[in-house]
Amino acid sequence: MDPITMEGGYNGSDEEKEDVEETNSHLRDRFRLSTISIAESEAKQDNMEISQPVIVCISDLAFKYAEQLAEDLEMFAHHAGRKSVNMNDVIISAHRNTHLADLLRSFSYNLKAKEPQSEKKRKKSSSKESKGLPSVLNLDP
Amino acid sequence: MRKGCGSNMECYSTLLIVRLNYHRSSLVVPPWRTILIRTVWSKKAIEREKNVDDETSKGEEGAGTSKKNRPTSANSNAVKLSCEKLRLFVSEAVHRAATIAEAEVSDFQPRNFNQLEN
Repeated sequence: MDPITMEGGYNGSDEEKEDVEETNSHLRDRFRLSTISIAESEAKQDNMEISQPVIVCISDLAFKYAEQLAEDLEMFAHHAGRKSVNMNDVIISAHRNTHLADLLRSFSYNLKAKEPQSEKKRKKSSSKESKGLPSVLNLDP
Repeated sequence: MRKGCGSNMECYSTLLIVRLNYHRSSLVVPPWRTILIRTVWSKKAIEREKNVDDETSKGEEGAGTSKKNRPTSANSNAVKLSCEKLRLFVSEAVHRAATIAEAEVSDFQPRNFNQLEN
């Protein structure tokens, strides 16, 4: 019995490892594709061409950067006692580069502005307005 | 516990495929990077769970640990923002390489990019 269970255990871990490797390679490939599209569009703006090894280098660097970013964001969120990552965590992750932080902050404001107001917020704001109006009216006379 | 983690990974891969199919035509930075970030977090969660498993096999004090080891989630806007950050990283790398290439030669060379690290 023991050898069979042992074999089963090893197979399970091997399968898991294979799955993880598959997902990793899949992600890396897709990441590379998007990096190529971004890099080519950026190079077009400068009227230049990028050689393949450079794109591969950039995509590998960006992949590692993304992994580090994920770890940092997780740590920030855990430090704040949360299980979910906020926009503030992403902005804080760029605190060493002030220009980048400003860019991200403005992008976050745009994202917030694009967000449609939920019904609850509308209700709250409408109730506040309704509460606020009488006081203003009372002050007038 | 480990079976759950395996199913999580499968879930992420299916999410990846769905998101890729959805965003294939769009010019915006593909949000499948969400999945990349999540895989990193799920990896960490798996490691934590394995550590907890080892601890419980030794001491058997693992009541209510499943909630602690839940993988980190992200706000949708936070994911978009991190995608923007990655896009800026790539564009900055290309622009820096371009400025160096313009100064030296008209075409990009790998050595130009190597100078970025310094």
